[in-house]
Amino acid sequence: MTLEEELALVVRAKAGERDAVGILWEEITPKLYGYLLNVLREKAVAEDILQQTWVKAISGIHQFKPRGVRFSAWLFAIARNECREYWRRPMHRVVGELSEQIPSPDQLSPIEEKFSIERIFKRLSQEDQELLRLRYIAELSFKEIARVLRISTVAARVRIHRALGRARVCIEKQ
Amino acid sequence: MSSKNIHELFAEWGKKAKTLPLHTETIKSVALQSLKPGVSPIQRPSRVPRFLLVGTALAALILFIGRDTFFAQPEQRAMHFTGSGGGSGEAFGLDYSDSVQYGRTANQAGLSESSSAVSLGKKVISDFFPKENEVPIVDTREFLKTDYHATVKTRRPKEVSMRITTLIRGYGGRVDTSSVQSRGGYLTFVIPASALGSFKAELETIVPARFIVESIEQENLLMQKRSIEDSAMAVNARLDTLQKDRDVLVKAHTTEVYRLKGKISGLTKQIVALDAELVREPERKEEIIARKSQLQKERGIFDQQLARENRNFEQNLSYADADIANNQSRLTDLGKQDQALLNTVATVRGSIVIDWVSILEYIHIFIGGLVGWVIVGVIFVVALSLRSQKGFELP
Repeated sequence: MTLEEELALVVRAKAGERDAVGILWEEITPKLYGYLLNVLREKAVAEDILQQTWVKAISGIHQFKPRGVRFSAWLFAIARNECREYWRRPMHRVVGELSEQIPSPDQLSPIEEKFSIERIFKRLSQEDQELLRLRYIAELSFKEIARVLRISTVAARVRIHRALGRARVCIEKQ
Repeated sequence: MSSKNIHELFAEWGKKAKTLPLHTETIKSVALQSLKPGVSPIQRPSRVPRFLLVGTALAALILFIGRDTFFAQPEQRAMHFTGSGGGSGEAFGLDYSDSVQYGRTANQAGLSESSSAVSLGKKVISDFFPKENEVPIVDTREFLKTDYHATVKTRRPKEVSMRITTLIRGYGGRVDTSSVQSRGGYLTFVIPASALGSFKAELETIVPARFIVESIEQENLLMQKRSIEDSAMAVNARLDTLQKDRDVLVKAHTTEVYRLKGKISGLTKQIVALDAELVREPERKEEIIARKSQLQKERGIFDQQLARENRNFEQNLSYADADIANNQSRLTDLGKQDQALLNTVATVRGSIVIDWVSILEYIHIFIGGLVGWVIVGVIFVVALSLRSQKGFELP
């Protein structure tokens, strides 16, 4: 969905149109939930955070200022904030492995079996993981990633390039 | 493995990571419940280009800094044009033929410093023209003839011209020529040398220093002063001599007249004595007559000598008196020349050119050329960088 299309839906959502919110939900939730799942590694917690994120976004939709980025980028910024809040709570549950997230070997193609991205991904630093999530799961542009992470667009581009480079090195070592 | 391949791998990985939650409809309905109807519309992104925003902010900053210059109210006075002869200081009548020289000619006294000050925004550059030593080094006196020139850049030539005119008169000066138009002006004036420093300082309150280019030329008139003094000394010596000669002349004449009159008087007495003698003998009478004739002849000669002496004395005395009068007149003239020189030293001759300056030139002068634009560029880049780093405002 393009920036203009999203903004048009947001305008309708601000006017109270549930359909517009529904369209945004359908478009953004798979990416957002996938991102949260990759971060939190627990479905129940990911669902909770997902719900909180959407509730906050819709309640505070008037605070959203595009400035050249999509509504979904803002959602991901809220989701990151919610994740931080969750980890600050002393009673948060221990993150477990999502074994179902990793395909079983017989489901992998020959290349995927040899270069399991998930394994490579886990070897990267937290910062690299976050960058790659925002880039490939959330499908945010460099500019949007920069806004979410509060860095410059150039820095975002460089860091993602370097993260990919490090991932490639890990693959080549395998 | 190429970057493109790894990009495709991660893209594929990202696509596979997308999924919907198990209780998607429940979560969706909870989220939709928080939807409030009729919320204020979204603020559209600014269509104004960034560079225009930053440029406008910079222009506002420059205008704020230069507000006193841009927006000051001019005083309401009538313009006037005056013309008179040239400034004072040229009429002390010395016959030296030096033109106005750059640099203090105190070098003529053997001093090494020169002082021609070409000021650019108050930065002084010295010119040095060495001269032959015509005045002994031991004479360190300075009789400085000062010429002041300035070019003033302003966006309000008429107002600045009026204020400078008032300033000149306030310091006891005189405006000799004045010409002002809407885009420029020119003033020539004289002010007391003692007021030059204060005048310059107060000029900077009318126009900032960076918009004034000054030039001060000074010439030491010590050589001329010494020439006057030497001439006066010579004339005084001559007068002394002439006076002494006159005295000698008078004394010699008096002595000579006394001698001659003594002679004449003696001869006259002899003649009178012979006339008084009673003589009966014809021979004695003959002798007396002959003697009287001789004495009268001698007396006549002495009378002629006396007359000649008196004539010569009158003539020589008139010559001597004339000489004395001439030298006294010369001395008086030298006194006037000396006073004129001192008046010149006490007076600064000045001229001010008032130039109208455009906004761009104003900014160029104010910011200081290339350095200023580099600073502006750095501020611009930093502003863009900071803008791009700002994150979201989260609910």
